[in-house]
Amino acid sequence: MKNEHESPFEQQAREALVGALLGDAQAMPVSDEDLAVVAEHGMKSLSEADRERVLNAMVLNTNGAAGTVDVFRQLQNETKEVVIDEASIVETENHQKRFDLVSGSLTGLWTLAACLALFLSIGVFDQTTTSKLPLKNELNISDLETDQEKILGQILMDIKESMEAHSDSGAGSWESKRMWLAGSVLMMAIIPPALWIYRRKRK
Amino acid sequence: MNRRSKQKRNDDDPDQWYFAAAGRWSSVRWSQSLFKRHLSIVHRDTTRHPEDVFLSGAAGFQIDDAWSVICEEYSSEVVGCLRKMRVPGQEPYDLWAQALERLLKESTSFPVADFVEHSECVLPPTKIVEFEGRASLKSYLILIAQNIGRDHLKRKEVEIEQTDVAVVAHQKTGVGEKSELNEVELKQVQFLLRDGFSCLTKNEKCVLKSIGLLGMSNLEVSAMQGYSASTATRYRQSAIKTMNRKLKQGFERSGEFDDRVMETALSYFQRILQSLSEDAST
Repeated sequence: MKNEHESPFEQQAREALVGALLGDAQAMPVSDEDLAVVAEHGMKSLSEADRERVLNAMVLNTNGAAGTVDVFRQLQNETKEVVIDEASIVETENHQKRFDLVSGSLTGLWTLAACLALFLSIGVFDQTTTSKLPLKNELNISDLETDQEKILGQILMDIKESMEAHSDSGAGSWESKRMWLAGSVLMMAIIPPALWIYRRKRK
Repeated sequence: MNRRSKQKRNDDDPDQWYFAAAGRWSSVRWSQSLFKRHLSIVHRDTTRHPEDVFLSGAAGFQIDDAWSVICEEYSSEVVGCLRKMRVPGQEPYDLWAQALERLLKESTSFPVADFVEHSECVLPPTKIVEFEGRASLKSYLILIAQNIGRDHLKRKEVEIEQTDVAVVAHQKTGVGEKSELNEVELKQVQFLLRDGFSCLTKNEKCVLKSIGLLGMSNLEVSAMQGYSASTATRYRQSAIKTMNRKLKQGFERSGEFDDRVMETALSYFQRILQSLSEDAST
């Protein structure tokens, strides 16, 4: 409020205002401990009468009470620093959690995608191999001329029949491979997140 | 804030307080009975920091180890705070030493008679024994040292002001500078302002005093008084409004002021009150 370049009128007015604000403030005794309580906890913990007494002492600077405001500010700043420190620790922890979540999800997805690709390729390859086998009507033994050819033809037909029989039993069918693939994919989908959760819990 | 100094009153058992304090400052040997007696004198019910009361009590009864602990534990923190206030001619360590010196003076208000039967109390208690533990010992020590520093600053300011007044009086050499307000007008303005201030509620007065005289910001006022920031703003604005209204009404009613003085005065007070609200919002 104090201005060194103020005119005489402004000075008068300022003094009048300060006088008014001081009002009926009376110098009353205040102990160092009262002031320390105010500096540390504010005036909340004081009774109505004590609040007025301490405030008057502060504005009149009784017992150096005006310095209480400085100590109050310093202690407030220290508290803020502690709060900020704690907040930054919490922020770092949250950041780490988010990072773990994203990296864990990505790891899981990556594993899943890789496994899916692998098993699909195996399945396609397997299907391609099966489709390359001679079909039922492609070979007619009666059309063969020599005995050797007929014997060889018969052997091939026997192999084909045995493969078809094996395929009909379901052990090597495309459906069974798909079931196996689905199971593997399911396992791969469950295992990485489960491992990740286990690792998080151990932390 | 030092977390270790936050002592909670989980229970009201002085024996537990004693063992906690004695464990924390094992070098300080002070009897349990004396501690309990001391607690009963310093109003145990209002004590928030019983461990600090143990230390201050032991130091009050001039146990050297207690003073060593105080110096070891608190000197760096107190001196750190004192570095923020620059007192010409006084180093922070000087102020800390003066604070200790003040606390080492003989206590005049402590009831020494209550301790007569204790053979340990040979020496008269020092002023630190009056510490009741309502605030932490750290805040108490900082406050005393800061107040000593402030006293030095105040003395310096008075010296400078006296020199300035002498120089100005010498320069003016009898040429009286005419004031805008004559004596009657000045008294009238003072009366109007006091009248306006007396119409305010207790809370409004408190906010205006804190902002206008102690230079506190709105947030600081709310933190110190335990209001919310919006409540402090509300009190401040209503106080300024009331003061303005009273001033205007007073000027118009009295009719003793010419228009120019009235206009200048109103605009000036408006400016001061406005600057209060600007300070408060920063």
